[in-house]
Amino acid sequence: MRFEVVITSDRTMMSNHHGKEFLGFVATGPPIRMPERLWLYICAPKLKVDELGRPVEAPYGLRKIEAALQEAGFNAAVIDPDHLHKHLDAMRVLLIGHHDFFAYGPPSSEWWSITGIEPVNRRSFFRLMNSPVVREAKHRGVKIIVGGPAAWQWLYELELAEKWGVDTIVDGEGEKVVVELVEKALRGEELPRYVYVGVDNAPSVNEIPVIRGASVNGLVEIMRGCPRGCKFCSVTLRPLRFMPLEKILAEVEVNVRAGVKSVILHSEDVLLYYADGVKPRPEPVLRLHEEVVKRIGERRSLAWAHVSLATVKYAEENYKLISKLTRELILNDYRRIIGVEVGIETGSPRLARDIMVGKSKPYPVEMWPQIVEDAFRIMHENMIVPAATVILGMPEETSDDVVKTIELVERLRPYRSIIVPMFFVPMGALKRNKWFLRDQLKPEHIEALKVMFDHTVYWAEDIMKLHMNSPAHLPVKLLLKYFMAYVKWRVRQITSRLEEIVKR
Amino acid sequence: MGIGSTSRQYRRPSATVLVYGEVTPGVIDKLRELLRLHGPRGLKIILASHSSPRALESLRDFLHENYTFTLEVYTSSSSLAEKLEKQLASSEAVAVLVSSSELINQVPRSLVSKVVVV
Repeated sequence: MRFEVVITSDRTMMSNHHGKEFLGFVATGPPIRMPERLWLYICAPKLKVDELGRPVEAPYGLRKIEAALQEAGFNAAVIDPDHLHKHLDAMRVLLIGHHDFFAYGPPSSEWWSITGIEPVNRRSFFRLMNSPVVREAKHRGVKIIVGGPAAWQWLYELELAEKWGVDTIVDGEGEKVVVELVEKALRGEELPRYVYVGVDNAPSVNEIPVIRGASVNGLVEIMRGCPRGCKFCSVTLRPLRFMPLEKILAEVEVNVRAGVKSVILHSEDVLLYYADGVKPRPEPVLRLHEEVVKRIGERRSLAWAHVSLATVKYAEENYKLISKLTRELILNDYRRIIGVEVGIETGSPRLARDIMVGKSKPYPVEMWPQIVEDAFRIMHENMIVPAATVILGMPEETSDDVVKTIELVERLRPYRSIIVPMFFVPMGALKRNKWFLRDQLKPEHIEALKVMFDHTVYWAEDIMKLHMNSPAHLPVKLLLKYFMAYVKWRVRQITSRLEEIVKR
Repeated sequence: MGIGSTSRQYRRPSATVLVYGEVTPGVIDKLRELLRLHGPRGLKIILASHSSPRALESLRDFLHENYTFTLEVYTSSSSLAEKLEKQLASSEAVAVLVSSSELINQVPRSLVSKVVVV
């Protein structure tokens, strides 16, 4: 069997990152003091595939597109990038998705800006596009359609779009439009160069298909969209939809059947599942976890993609929801921690009011630093380990705002967590602003970078011990230890260089 | 209802704007106006004088501003040019933007009444 419609991505996306989602972020950095192949071994090992080159796990977004096309009757499948040649004769459409095609998103653009070295994810994507098999496919007239959360980046790389023969760039939710585009491509009709999928074409819950193959690390979407309206975020521009429990469980079962060893519940705020606005409702969240845990058994890990800090505080203080979830349902001898991404973004209530006034709700925005501290304490007490982001260089940010962020990060020291600085990238409602780059750094930014780095290093070993406790992880753990030691040394060097740049 | 999806089709843009000549700031302003007016129907923009994807460069800010409406942008090719007159009944084309009056003679005859020189 060969596929007419092939869906793929580069290696940094088509990997399960050794079952540890956070290792995927290593691909956003440049390969320093290590051969790139070793770097890729740490962050993006190859996946198991079947004889047709279909990976056992694949990025969730690609799985949704695959399901939509298969439901519409197309001969389509996700194929590992190393196995595209098996379908060259049959292939007529090549769909390529990515989170960060050109490394212009956070945090890739930041590491690139600081070190001046091209990140691994960008190199890997270029290798895919320049590979003989993709070039040959184009030579044979295969239509190339690109899309995903990083589609906006192509509007800055139109020469490459021309060079590589990209026919269409799709920005927005793809489940419906992809069927239209593939139909057109197969009929030999003119394709649009660019499509933005508006609110009217966003799929309703009933139109979102259940994935048919396993997703990377068992990621399963429980909600789409976000009610908080932060200006720097593109997800908040999408309509809010809750996935019915039966649909979520069907996807969990697809992953369990495929032997995936974890589940990641994906939402911008897992605790807002079927919430009353921004106030969580305990019943649907508890029921969701009860049913998921029943299906994944004792040994599989369970993580949350994101929660918002205000919801953590509200849920615990009003319903003891966090302790109920962790102590009664999730944690056991095999699941010793729950990983989650959270957004601090700033420690300044003034800036928070400007860019993310809804993020603190139902609390007033003036309470933002206190909300962050309280939520971190609650998570620490309940073995939830947040990977938190802080955005530096927001439009209208002042030195005083950065100082407030530094003070907040210092107060978070007692709580087990990773804190990652992100340079501002123009996205969401702030899409027309400019990137924040190394040359715009002020002394306060450098201090903020140092404080966040110290925090992360302080907790990193403890988190590694809890998170990578299987003997199978030993080689990766050793490499990570070496990597951390090197990064500590390198950061000292880079910090002095940045300080010199600031003085100039 | 089962848990599979019920397929509803993609709603194609039903308003079309053709652009002849360069995409000037004046053309962009006019496109903004047309998007506000016809956006809920979805807007198809055809850059009739360009065939390369690089033509999108001049539309970048305009495209990035939009996060509400369905937008499709085409560049011209010989096959598209042939089909233009057939596909575009004048009821569907809401405007033909022309950056210079010398280009009016390139506009299909049935669409001349929609020409706006910007």
